[in-house]
Amino acid sequence: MTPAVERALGDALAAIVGVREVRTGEGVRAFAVDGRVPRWVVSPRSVEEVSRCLTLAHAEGLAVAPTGHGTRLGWGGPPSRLDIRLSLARLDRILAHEPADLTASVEAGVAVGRLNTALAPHRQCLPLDPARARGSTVGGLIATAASGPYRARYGTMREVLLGVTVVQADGTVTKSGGRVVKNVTGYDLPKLHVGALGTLGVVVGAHLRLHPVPPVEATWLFGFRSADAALDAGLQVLDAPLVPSRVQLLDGRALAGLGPRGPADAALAVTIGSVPEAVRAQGGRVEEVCRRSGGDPIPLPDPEGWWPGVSDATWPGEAASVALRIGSRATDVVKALRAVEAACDPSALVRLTAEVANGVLHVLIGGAAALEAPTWLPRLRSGLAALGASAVVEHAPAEIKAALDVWGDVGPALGPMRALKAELDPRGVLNPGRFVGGI
Amino acid sequence: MDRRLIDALSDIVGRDALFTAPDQCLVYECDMLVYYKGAPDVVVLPASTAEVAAVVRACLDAGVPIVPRGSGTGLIGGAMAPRGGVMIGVNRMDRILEVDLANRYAVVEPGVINLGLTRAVEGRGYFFAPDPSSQMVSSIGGNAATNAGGPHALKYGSAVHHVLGLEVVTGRGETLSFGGPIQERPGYDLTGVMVGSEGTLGVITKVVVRLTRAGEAVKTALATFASIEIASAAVSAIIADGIIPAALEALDEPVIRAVEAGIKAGYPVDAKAVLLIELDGPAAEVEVQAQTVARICREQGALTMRVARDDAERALLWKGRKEAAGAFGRITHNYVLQDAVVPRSRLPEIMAEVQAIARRHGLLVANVFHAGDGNLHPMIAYDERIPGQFESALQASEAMLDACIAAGGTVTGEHGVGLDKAEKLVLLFTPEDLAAMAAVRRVFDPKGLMNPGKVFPTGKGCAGAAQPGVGKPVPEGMWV
Repeated sequence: MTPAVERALGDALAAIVGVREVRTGEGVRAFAVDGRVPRWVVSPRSVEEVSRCLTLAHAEGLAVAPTGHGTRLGWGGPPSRLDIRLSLARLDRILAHEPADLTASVEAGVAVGRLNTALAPHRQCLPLDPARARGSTVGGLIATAASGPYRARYGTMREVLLGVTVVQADGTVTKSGGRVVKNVTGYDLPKLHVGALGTLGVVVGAHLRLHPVPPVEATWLFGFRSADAALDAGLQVLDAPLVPSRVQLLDGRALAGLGPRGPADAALAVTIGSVPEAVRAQGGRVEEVCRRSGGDPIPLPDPEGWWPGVSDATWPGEAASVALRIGSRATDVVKALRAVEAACDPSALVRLTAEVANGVLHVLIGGAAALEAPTWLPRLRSGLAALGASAVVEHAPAEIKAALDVWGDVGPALGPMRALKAELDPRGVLNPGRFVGGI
Repeated sequence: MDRRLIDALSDIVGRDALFTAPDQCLVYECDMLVYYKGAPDVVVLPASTAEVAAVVRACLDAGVPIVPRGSGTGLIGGAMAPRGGVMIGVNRMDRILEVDLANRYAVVEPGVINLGLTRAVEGRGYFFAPDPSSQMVSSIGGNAATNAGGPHALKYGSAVHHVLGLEVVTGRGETLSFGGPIQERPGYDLTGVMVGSEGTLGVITKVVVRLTRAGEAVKTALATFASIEIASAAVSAIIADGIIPAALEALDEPVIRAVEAGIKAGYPVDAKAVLLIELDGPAAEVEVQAQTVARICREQGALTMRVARDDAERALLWKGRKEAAGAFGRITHNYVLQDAVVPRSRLPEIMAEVQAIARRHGLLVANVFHAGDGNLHPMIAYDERIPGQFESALQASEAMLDACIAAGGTVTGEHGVGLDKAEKLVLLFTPEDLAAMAAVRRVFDPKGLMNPGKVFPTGKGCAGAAQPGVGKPVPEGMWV
């Protein structure tokens, strides 16, 4: 791109969003995605402006990385091209909250924490609690489908997303789904955008299903002598007629890092939310199961303050670390853990937590092993393949990332996935190179 | 139809599993919305995925429409063949292939009956949550294809929340697996878009479903009200209080009378409206919530309230609900059924509007619906022997749908689009919205041969797409 063309395009973007909302030059270095610096950082304030930006990008063949607050900007492969980092942070209006309907309509840039603060007086919430949930935007959680402990009861964004407004790659504004809780009118396109990393369209608005905040929520934490024993207790809790909101396994290091001290190699934390009588009754059952499996109770003085730490326990703090997400069967959670230990030096495993009900492991690898990920990741994946499980690299240093496939093989379904991308974004405007199979 | 194609299909599925005689194909000419008729030229009943794939490929090569069909209990003109072609009945593929309770899933063939799966696992305390009223006969493949709901969708969600993975023979003739027992996996959620696509993307040949742990306790209560509007206000009050019952169903006077004339479920015949409220979960929670629900109902003006004392009484209350539409069918000549949704807080006003529309058309409307979800099912009675009354009933039904959409609702909540509502999509979606759906269609069905004429509006109106038949639009004994 010649300087003259670049100037002209910058002017065109400024004409859409205003000159103050287009950053360029040295100021954009901090907005690099996996080391790739965008030419412009653009912050539209309306759906109309997003649409016009994409119309321009599509016509000029520019590559766009839509972002919210950038919490999970490290997810996905390195972009193959990047011209515009399109921030949706200013589309941050809560458009509607209908308490009697248990629904809300928001712009994509609304942070989950802010939404939940607004819902709290009505004792309602969007019960999604992945790492750094409060600062994550609704659009970001749609793009990433990030999973947290509450998934045991409430699912992920997939379960609460009722409808979306999407700006397609060519700037066309479309909607799908709706704002009612039950709807089979046409294809369920909102599902396609959940976890798609913004590669099929830029979600600018969402209708969300809310949940009532339970009258009481309490957590039981038990230490175990082995991860196997903790998992066994977790599976028993799930097999009992209980309604746990969270059933989280923590390895000894994650437990130790969070404060409550115990000589445990692993722990199980179970949250129950209900009316006080039922919380007590179910908690009694949880205790019974855990004690029978050899668990020792660990006092937890401030569960509400503790849980965000559990979600964040595997968040990459230092640059030279690798964060993994593993999907397995619930019963294979410990086998998946062993596969990690077998593939790379066990001492490299910094912390691990697992959502037992859904078979999701969050793993943080540090030290020298982090830099050797391209070597051990294929070993890990072949170990996991025997369980039908998969590993996704959520975070790695940019130079490491270039040497590995963050997503892994998705099998024959890659064919229709590529075809879908080709239909909805034929010019590769949206996040090129960052999704599965280089989509 | 080309004899060579028929011979090829016969070679694939076997002579016994293929019908071409008009009287045999006639059975397959409609689903339970018998208004729309369209018999296939050939019906095949394959026994395996490989046979389905071979049938699909043969049809694609011949350029012949392919219509998948489960038990045929749909209410939308879905599993029928307005353009002829080959119907693939999956009824012989009816094995439960795997049950894994520790990981809470089952793998089933598409012809497995919904209730059959629950029967297979309920002894161990699990169930398959989607419970359309047709669940004793409808197939899980059909439930997945239409994203079926049911009374318990209020708490447990529709089929899409319980389908973890699919094996599908697409409209390209490929056999592909999406999703599976492991919930966390990279890639686009193709399972999510395949569920509810009504056979327009492919034929479902295997379904991985979530099994749900049954609650410790269940309590079913019946509250009576002086009007359906008051009952509807009570629904909103319960939800707004933070209680999500397992089910929250409403029936109005004409339905109550019909149920009591036939099934005798024990609904008070002098009531203008009843709410059937089911709470399930931990015993202590159910106990407390039942008291709260009773208080809210009283505050909202409930006339009476009683709780089923035992399983037999509970089953009877539910029998009344599940067979209500059929019971109404027995006391009326004919009726037109609507499936629409409004935000639940708008129920009181929309119910008043539904009554007003019926009055304006001089017709009786009866309501039995999923009140907790805001999912209406008005049944508009008419007599086909009276000239013009059927047309009038259709107009009233459309006016009700328009009113629901104006209130922020949608075209269909759980029955689906099919042939019946294809033209209605334009009430909700722009040409651009529909083009995005068409793009997805092209990925899986580039030739447009999978269940053609369904879901997508043709712009020609319903009459251009199918030949309306004669008889009752909705037969007796159907399930809503």
